[in-house]
Amino acid sequence: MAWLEFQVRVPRGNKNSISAALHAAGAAGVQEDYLPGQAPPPRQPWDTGAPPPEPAELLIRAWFEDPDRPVVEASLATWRLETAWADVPDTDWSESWKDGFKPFVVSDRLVVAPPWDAPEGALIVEPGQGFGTGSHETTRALLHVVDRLADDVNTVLDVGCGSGILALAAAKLGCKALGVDIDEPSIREAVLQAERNSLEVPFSTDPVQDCEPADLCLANLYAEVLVELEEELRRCTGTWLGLAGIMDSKEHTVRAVFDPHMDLDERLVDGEWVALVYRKRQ
Amino acid sequence: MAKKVVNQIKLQIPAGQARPAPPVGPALGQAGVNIKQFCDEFNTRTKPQAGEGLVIPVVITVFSDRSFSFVTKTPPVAVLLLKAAGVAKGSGQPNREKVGTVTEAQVEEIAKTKLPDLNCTNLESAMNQVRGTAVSMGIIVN
Repeated sequence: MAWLEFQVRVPRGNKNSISAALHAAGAAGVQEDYLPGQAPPPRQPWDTGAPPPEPAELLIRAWFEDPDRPVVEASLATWRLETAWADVPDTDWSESWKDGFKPFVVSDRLVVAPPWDAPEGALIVEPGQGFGTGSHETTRALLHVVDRLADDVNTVLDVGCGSGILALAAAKLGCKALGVDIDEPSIREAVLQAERNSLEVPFSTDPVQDCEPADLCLANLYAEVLVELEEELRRCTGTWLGLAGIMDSKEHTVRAVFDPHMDLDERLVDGEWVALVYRKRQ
Repeated sequence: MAKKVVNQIKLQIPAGQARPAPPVGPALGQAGVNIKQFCDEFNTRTKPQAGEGLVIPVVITVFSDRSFSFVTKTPPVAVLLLKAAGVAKGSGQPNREKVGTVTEAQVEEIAKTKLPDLNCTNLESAMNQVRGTAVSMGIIVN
């Protein structure tokens, strides 16, 4: 059976009425999208202030399996809208999303890989709802830190653990690790990742305020949150503190609160992202 | 985690019917998101509405490492009005062509359902929004 995509340019105020009409005409589902060139930059968790105004028009895409085209077009005829049909390539969607996920070699002893492409002994991380698939600069920076320090520490705490990748990497290298995150879906996923790797790493939504100090404390968050949690992160640090998720333009804000209290041991830069490794002062 | 948002995908999918086919396949496949995991969790979350044949809006946020999160919303007012009026579609010329009728009680019921997603805090304001949508669709409120 062939899928066809029906595209219609609609005034924002009519989007739900038109979407409802398309569902009634047999659409398997619809997508609300921006017209080409009109998408505003995605809003980031650290953005403040009012979001930019939404464009007055948008693009509704609807998908039909073997549609009766005149019937679909007639369902919107009274609105007099600009419409178009597009072929949908025959694709195995259940597999195609995996393209581009490759094993990431941290060192001879630590490789992170998706389940479908995992070499023997790799830490298996299935990409999903927890941030930390191993394909982002911030995660990679702290994986290097874990690999460098794992032989010198016994305990590791991952604050804002997402998929659990950092705590799991530490456990894989013989540390006693645990992870916390306020996001419940991430914790559910981290637990599954631990099971997948037969690693015993506790993950929970406990607040960082309840965490015991660990030899190595890791926090791959973003600058604003690192600054906000500065006192707690220092309290949770036995010896080493690894911070990541810092955009280079905001590094100074993080340095301003941590430098007066700890010794900067390493600074890693990858693209626009900076990671900082601090050592507790004796 | 240092989640940088790269994309937000807004879909409307029948409750309990997400599968690796359009619209989920092309929309999420292009973003490199774990389609099976999304479908499984969407279908689990919307199972209670599946029997009613309702369409559920969902906003999927895709992060820079292709991990994702999503929130489901209540069905659009337009969908609930069509269902209540027992008609397939709204009017393209609502001032001149009326396609159906709903009662005040149905408007109140829809407003209660939609209250969590509307920009208002009381039921009367929500009912006014529902009435406004009904007018724009050519549906009469008795």
